[in-house]
Amino acid sequence: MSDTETGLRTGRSSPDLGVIAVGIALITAAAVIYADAAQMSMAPLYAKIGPKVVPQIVAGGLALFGLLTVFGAFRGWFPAREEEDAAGAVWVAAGLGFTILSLILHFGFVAAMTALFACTSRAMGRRAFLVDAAIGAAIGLSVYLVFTKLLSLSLPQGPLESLL
Amino acid sequence: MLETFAALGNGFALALQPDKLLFALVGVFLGTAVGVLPGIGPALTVALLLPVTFKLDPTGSLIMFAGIYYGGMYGGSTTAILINTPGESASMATALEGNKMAKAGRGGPALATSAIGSFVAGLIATIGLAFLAPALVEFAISFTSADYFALMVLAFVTVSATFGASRLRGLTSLFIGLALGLIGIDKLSGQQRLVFGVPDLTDGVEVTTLAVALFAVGEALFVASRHKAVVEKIEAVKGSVWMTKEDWKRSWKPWLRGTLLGFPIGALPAGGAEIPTFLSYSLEKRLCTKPEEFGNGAIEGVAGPEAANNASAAGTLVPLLTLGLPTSATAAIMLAGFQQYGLNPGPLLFAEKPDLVWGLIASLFVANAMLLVLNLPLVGLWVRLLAIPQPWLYGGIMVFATMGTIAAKPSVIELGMLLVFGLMGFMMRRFDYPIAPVVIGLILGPLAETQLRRALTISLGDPSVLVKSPISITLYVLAAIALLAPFFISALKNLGSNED
Repeated sequence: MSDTETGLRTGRSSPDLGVIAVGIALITAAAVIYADAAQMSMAPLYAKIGPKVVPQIVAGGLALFGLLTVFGAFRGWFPAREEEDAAGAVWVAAGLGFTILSLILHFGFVAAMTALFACTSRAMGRRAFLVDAAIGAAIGLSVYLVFTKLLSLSLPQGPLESLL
Repeated sequence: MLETFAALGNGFALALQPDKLLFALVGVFLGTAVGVLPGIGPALTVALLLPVTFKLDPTGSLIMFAGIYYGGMYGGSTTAILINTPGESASMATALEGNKMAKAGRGGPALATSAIGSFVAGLIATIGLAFLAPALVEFAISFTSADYFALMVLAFVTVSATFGASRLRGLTSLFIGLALGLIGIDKLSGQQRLVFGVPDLTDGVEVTTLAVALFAVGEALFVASRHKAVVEKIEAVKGSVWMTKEDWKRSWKPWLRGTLLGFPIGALPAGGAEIPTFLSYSLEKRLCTKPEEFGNGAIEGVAGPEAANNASAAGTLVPLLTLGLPTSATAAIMLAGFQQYGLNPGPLLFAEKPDLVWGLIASLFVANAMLLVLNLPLVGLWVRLLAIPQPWLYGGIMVFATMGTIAAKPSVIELGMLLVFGLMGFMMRRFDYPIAPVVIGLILGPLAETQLRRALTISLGDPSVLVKSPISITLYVLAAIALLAPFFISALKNLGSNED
């Protein structure tokens, strides 16, 4: 498991906190999977080879890799990361979040796509929100028409879509 | 041999029907159009376009798929040559020399040698597929559940741990995929696993949702987070797209050598087209009569890797169709496409639905020929697609990613998964985890579990059944070598350099 040990050691003196967090997340996931398997009540028929076995193997693997990851954080196994600009990623996530919200509140497909397109474009550094919103609306509308009229797939309806 | 010809003949009779030809044409066109967009590789192309085929009949939709697959591959190399942004690692070798050629005003011949090389490689590799598949099917029919499980273990190891930067990260990615594959109702016992009382989760995680989230949403988040995103310059296609006599002379051998490297490596359950493309690149560099041109736009460096890339793409269809074993992210999504019609690729599919299988193989020939005819004349159109500004490009990618998910399953949970897995894809990119093993783990994990439990049920729980047949022992030995070989190599190197 220590292949990067030789090649990529960066000589970092302090442990990589981000990598430690990844390792802990993996160990947590392993614990959740193990606990879920443990609470299954099994008929005796499945005692040996039932639905618990593979989750336990997977949980074991994730826990092992999680521990090795934490260990690797102290040994500098992971490559250095670039500086990041969280704002950009937040805009993308916000666009997708709005789409989920519009599904709950029945804003309709076109409204969701308008916001998603404009937010993503903003995330990539463009500052023409209204123009991009108009483009997003046009794309959303044409996709809606092609999907519902041509491919007979259904997409979520809102006030606008029910007029079409 | 004769049976193969007869079967292939029937396949062509199906694939050459006007409506099937139309499906192939639409597939090739859409595949190229989406594949040419920077940052979109063939896997994402197939995942994004899967919802379009929902309402088609299985044969038509799989034929369209074949076109999308080959078109996506071709579109990717166009991008690599003209803007040096390979959509996938397998196009990286092409970008090395191809982009240099384009900068030197030889973009036309670079595109031509890549198109013709892809055609030659696709043709030879598809013939290889047609003749290798029946033989492999005959062999695979004798496989027991234990053998299948061993084969899948080998695929898991090679896909996640053998190639790539780190075995720890590769295996972690694989196990994340396996964990996601556990979600839902266990097929054999009806027990709910990792559902947490959410009804939407009982069906499990959709492969397309995961793939689109990891590849599209994750990529958009990642690009947006790197503020100083460099805008790559698009090289105009200068000069004739036709190759000179010398170009032909320098290209045909690399095409054939690339094919010979690509097809076997793709056909082995080893996964990944990167290896043959880079092998081909270094081979051509060594054999080239003008090695000084390498690094400045040598046509051999485009011809070889492109052929290797396409040949290995056709090669991955061998384990996919004959064994139901996906060895690349694209193949995993294709398998999901099969499953959406209740079709399970494997030896039985050849016996039960010969029309469909051979129609699909014949369509690969058709799609390959269509690409050659379509792409060079339409190169102007593809170049214009490349010119879409990055903000709009990613806006469009996000719209199409979300649209596909909504069309497949308009639920809040499904979209929530798109967001959560997208964030996971973002973190994986930041920490340099490979993406493909997650997708392969998700789709192959449940299949491997079924084989494992079937084998253990037959043996009444005795685990020694897993290593009883020579086939499974061989496969485990290969898996062990694949897992440990890099360790020994680096240990030997370490001994030599005496670092510590």
